[in-house]
Amino acid sequence: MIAAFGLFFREWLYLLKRPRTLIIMIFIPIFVTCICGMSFSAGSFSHLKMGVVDYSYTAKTREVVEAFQQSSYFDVVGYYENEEQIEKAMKDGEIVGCIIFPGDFTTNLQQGRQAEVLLGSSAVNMGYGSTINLRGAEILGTLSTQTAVKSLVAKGYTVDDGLAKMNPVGFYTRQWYNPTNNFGYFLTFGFVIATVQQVLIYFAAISLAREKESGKLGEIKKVNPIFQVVIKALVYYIISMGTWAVCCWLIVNKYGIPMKGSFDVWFGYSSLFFLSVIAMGQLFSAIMPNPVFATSFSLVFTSPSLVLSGFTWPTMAFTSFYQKLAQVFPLTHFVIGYRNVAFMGIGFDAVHDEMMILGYISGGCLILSCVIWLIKVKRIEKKEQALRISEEEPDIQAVAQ
Amino acid sequence: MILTFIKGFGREIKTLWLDKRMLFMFLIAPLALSIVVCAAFSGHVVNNIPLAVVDQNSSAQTRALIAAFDEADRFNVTYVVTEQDEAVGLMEEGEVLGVVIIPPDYTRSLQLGQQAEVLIGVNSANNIIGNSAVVSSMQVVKTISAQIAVKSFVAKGSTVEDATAMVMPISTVLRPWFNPQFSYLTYLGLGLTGLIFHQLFLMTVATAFAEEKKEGILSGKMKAKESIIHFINKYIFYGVTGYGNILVNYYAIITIFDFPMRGNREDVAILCGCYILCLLGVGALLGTLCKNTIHCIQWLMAMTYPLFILSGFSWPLTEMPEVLVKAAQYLPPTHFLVPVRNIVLTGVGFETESIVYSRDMLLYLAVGAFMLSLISFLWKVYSARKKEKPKLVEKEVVQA
Repeated sequence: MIAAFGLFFREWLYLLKRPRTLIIMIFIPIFVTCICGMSFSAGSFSHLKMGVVDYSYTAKTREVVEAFQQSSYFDVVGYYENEEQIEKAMKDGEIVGCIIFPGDFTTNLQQGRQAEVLLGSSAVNMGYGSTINLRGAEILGTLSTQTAVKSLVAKGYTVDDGLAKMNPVGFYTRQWYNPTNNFGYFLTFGFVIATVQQVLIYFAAISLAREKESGKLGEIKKVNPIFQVVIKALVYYIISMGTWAVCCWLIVNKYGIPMKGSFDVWFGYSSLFFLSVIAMGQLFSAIMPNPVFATSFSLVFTSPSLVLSGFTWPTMAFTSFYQKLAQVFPLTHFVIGYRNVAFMGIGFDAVHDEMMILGYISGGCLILSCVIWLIKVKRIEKKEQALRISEEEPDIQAVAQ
Repeated sequence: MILTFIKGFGREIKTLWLDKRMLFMFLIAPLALSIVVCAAFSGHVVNNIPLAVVDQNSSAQTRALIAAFDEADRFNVTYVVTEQDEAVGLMEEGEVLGVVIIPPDYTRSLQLGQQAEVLIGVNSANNIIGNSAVVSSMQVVKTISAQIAVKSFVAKGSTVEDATAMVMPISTVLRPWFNPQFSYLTYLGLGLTGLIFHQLFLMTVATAFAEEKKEGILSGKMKAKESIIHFINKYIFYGVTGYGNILVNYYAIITIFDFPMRGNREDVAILCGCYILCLLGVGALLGTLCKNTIHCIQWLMAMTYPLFILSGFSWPLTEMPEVLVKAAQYLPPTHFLVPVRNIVLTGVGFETESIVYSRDMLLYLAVGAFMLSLISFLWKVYSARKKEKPKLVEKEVVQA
């Protein structure tokens, strides 16, 4: 028992003696939280620079342009002569979207034909593209309905009747869980969780391998190898939960991203995630021949995890192979679930399946790393014993002579 | 000196060849990981978004609306329920990503010539998917609405064309420029390739320098002149191989995933060259400053996401606070990831101010990083030799 406590404090001492380690484990996730909070502080796109090509140029087209200008989402920066100029302006970064009125726009409207307007966006960055499509389509839809209703009102209809006749099915949209369309809500959790995972798996990956490499296994041999694994996991669990708590506090209190879930769910779900990452890291640590291999492998392993977690690109859109591959990463079972806990306030029932999988990953990896580490430690002890005997033999022979 | 130089090359090749881990991380991992990541987006767009419809009316008209959603490529109506709470529950469980609520008076309103309202709720926790889903659902409802209105006008003797023009006098055509499919792969693929290469190449260069502290040029056991020749050797060796590697990576990704190459290949090649020069300096600086290979990997792993966020690749720099924009100017990915995407997708080149600025910044950063790495290298060689001197004297004394 005392030896186990000794190992627990030894591990803390090892980390405290190395400020670099603590900086990376604690301050880097906090730094990423601050970077995300500051970067996404604008929340959503506004004042998107729009260009106009108006082949019609009448009061009607100016009315449409004015509607865009009035919206807080758009800034009409100028008129261009043709599409080539618009394309060049987009390439130069002068504008990120455009409205193009064909030459017959007003004539069509006046003659009772449908008039077309092209809403273009620079979709190289889909953030721009999706916002322009959504907000622009809303403005143009409203204008279209207004024009249609006006024509009926002119014929003596009331506005309500005109609206019902021209637009019998109205709709209102609600962007659930992210009503202000805030990109900070969307991206912050993913980047912070992925960073915590990255540093955690790294340190877990060297936790056992470094003992082997440094030849200091003798110092901890009083503790059963299985407990060595468990005690080290406990230390990294405490650090990661502490860091994660600070990050979450900053996310909620400093950057205003909601946390509707209860503390129990936060604690239980986060604990399982971090345990699974630590257990996986320790498995790498037990398997790999040295710390460099263990860290390199964890770097390669974690690199695609954010993409495959379904955080930006939903897993349902993956091929079945990728859907299966994504199951391997603990991040897949946490990052979306946690975002749902935070935004929807869901409870254990909703994340039950993810928690079960994280539990299986934690348990499986921990058992495997304990077994492999036990075998390795026994082997090392045997080798050392054999070495000692071979060193002692010449002395015995000398004494005998 | 020339012989030392040539020998140095042989030494670098031998070191890399013997270290299978490094060989894998340098030559195979960047392309393999880029392919894995890009292939994940091979679906390009998110279709078949699962929807729950709350049909509180249940009539032929509501079924027509539900069918319209189900038939749209973008959506799949997976649940039709009668209670809103049930639908919200499904959304919370992740079973559906959107909800369409048809109120009890939907059919009655239509029959009485009043406007019927439908609520469309989309889970916008993922904004980009959410926005696209809202636009598509608006299109579905508008189409249904227009169909009903047009029918009523046609019944009164109008032609379909005239009726359509009356109902929808302005029609909107959406055109996503440079990414017509509105594809995630087009949006993210090239940047992620650059970032993966950035991390693995830096790791290789930094490791190559850090490993020299054991027995190599930074151990203090070599003459200063010899050490500097090997330093230049390393620069040239990793510069040439790294440049070849990044070109192969981009060529493979652009070819395999059919990226439209609208710009000049030469422009991409030049920018890649500047990027490599920059990364060589940063890698050498990291390798000489860090105590060992593990420390280098530690810092690189920790900095992956800050670098990606600050590069302006996913969230543009124009939307960031000034202090972060200024900080981002000193990071190589800022001047590479977005410019390469712009060259490939929009066809800009060195006639564009922003690309010229990126190239110049990469070169300034490369010169700065080279100078710093050289100073740090010389300082480390000097201190290693200082440490090594007493040992050499001791050795000589013992020999004497």
